[in-house]
Amino acid sequence: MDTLLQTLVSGLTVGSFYALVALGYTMVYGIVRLINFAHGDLVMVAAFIGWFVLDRTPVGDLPPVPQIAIAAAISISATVLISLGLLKFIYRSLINYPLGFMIVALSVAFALQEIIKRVFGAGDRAYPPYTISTESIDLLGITVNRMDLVVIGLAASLMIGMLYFVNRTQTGMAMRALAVDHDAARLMGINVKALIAVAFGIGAALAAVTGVLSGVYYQRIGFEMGFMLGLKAFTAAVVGGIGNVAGAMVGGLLIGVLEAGVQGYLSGTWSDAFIFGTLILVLYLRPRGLLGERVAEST
Amino acid sequence: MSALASAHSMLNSGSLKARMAMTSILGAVSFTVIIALILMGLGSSYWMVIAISVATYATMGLGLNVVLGYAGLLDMGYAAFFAIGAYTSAILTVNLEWNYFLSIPIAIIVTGLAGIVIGYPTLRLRPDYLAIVTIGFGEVVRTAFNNWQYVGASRGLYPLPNPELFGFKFDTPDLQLLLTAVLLGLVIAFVNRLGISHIGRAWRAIRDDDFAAEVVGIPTLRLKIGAYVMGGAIGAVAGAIFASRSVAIDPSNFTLFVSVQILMIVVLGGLGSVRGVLLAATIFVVLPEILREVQEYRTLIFSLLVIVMVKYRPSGLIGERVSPDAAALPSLNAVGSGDTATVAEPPGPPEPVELPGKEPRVARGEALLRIEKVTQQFGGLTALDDVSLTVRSGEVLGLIGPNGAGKTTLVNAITGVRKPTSGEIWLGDEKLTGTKPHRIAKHGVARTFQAIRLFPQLSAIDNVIAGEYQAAHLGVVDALLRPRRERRHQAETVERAMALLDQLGIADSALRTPAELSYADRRRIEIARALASDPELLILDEPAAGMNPSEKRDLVEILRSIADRGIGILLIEHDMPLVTRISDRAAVLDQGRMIALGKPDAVLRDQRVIDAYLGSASKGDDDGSA
Repeated sequence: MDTLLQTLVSGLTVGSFYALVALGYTMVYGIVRLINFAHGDLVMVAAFIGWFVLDRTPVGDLPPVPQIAIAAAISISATVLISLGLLKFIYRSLINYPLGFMIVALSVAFALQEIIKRVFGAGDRAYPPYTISTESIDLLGITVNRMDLVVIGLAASLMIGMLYFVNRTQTGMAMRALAVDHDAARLMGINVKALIAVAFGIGAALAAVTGVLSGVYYQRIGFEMGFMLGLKAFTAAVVGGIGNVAGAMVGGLLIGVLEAGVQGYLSGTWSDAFIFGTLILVLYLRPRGLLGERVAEST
Repeated sequence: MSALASAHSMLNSGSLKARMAMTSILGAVSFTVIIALILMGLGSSYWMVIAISVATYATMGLGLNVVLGYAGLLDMGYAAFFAIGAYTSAILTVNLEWNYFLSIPIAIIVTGLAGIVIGYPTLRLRPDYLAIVTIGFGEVVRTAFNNWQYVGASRGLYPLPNPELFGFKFDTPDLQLLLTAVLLGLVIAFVNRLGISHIGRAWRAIRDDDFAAEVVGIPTLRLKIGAYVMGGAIGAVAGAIFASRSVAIDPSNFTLFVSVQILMIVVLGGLGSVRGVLLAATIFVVLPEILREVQEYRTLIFSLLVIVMVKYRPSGLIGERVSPDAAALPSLNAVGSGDTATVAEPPGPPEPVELPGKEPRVARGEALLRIEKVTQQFGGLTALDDVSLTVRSGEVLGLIGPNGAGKTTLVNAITGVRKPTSGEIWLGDEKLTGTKPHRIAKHGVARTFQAIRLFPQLSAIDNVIAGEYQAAHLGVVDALLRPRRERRHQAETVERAMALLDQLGIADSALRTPAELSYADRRRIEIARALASDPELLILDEPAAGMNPSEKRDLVEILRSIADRGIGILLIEHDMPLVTRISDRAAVLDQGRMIALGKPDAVLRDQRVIDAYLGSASKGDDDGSA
């Protein structure tokens, strides 16, 4: 029973990471209906920026909480700028050429990996050891890592914030309108171009949070950490229902728990195969995802 | 005239002849073997090994080119096919001690089966999901080999025996290179044949717009699976080549990164271009050997090259030839011979195009299309409410009604785009409801779209030829093994397409792409494409939109002559004078209900119709103020 609950907790933690990245995918996909394969690698870039701030600047001398907060703030701003730069100079002109967009995004992913590899080296880098990430506490009879609770709690509050943003704010509603019908939204005076930038920016910010948080959580970061994470997060978004904010969360947590379950009870090497197997199964049986997609049907 | 000039120049270009030569097995194999012999003459085993590597990448690139370049399917896990092919060959030769040459066909079959298993459920999904599913497939396959003890798990399979034929061993680099060259030559010939065949044309139509392709009669799902399986089979050949010269294979040879490299080769070379892929594969392998710096930065350099290429030169290093049929355009020469063929010239007296005889479904004037109590609901909205209507063969039935009345919904129900909630639709004694769009097109229903949906990258004539696909009595075997039959078929289809374009007055735009043509001309191409399927029922969704008065006059004449051939026409149009002039009968839809049916001028004087258009309080002239 204990191991089951512990597996569940670690699944929810990994799932929180997936969910945060999936949110970015789902927002961009909801508007432009394109898969940004480089999204996962933004997480990696953000993790390295965070590491640089903590390890190579005086910020590292501050107490843990402020130093992580500052590193995260810098990493988020830089990642958002990178993402908007990529949108402006590379992606924007390809939005009406889906095949080209996806191929280019894939190339951007590999280019980012190579650049980070050149700048920071091919070996792993280590975040400072924070006591919070190793301390464990007793919760309802099971021992959990305190950091697990921080990750799950932070992810949960960000997700609730996103739900509020999409459903209650004017910008969020404009985005949903855009997802249903580009032309009609344009005629209603919605600035499509600006909203695409907002979606890219929010996605990048969430990716950056994920990057720094996973650096603090796992301590080790490497240039290859982002791509597979991105693919699994996209899988999560599709499983939950692409374009659907709540679906991205449910899908992310589900994929995380599935992965932890397979690793805990079957075998570590098979977990990726299980995740993609689940994706194929879901697409076959319920192509709109578990919660249903919010993207309008196109002919 | 420039289109004609370019057609002539293409006709005479040497490269086209070279291309035709490369569809011959003998031609392609001699090409690769001669290159191999030259390399062997140089005597450096280092460069021979490099050449085998080029051939391996080129073979994989050509296979992915069928999937991605021809059919437009983004397969990001192509290495899975490579892996299955290599492992099948290795299992047969190592574990079961088969002869290497016997293992190749088995490898191709096993890989093809894997392609069907993964392709059938996924290719019916949205195309962008395919990318992620194929990555997943690639990872699942690699994980499976990585954990399968029978194939040595992560250690892999070794030692792989040298290929042996009748006691003759291929045990030196030059002999292996020769063997590789023969296999690559075969692949080049087959890929070229597929590319210019009726199947290759249909793939390009699917790549451009798979919905429009389905509606004009191309069985899109079957052809996508075909592309996936054939591309996979070529990947199996690449795997077999790899196994023939390697000492061992293990799962690390087949990572996602390999798939990405192949993808880059195809994109850099040019989607759909065989020569481009060969060139890109050569650059990809040879450049890092010459320049050490490139080796270190290979991934970065090629990633950036792909980005630049897609943005600024999407056709790649060597672009795919847009209209490979220029060589077979005798009728184009005939049309162009008189220097009077200009855009301004009105279409000549429409002469019926001779179509291969098909018995008409019903006698002239009999009920051809029967719509019986069709209701279509979208959620709470009833778009069609118990609509019944008959179109007779040889008549023009005008279907009118205010915007949102359900006209296009009715067309979608007839053509199988969306199955009605209830009711039945029959064409003669053939039930159309519940049938797939391409089957309905084959039964003899053709349509145009309210918002034009031509294949943007195909020339006008190739657009029209796409409409002829369902009439082709050819199969994969013809495409691969009977180039002469294919060429004869091609000559016929080109001739018919030219005649149709001529009939619609746009013959001299045959080689232009839709973007280069006026709105009215694009509408004409759509009509020609619809007619190309030799339909019994032609549905035109606002064909006169965007046409000027003289173009409209021509259109009336053309439609009249089509109807006189015994084809039933269902015409949706907002231009009331045009409807009155051309229609034998007119039907009026309003808010999903049929409110009037009869002689056009009588219908337009009907009070309910006037009310529908102008609101119930007012009385007005019926000149089509929709």
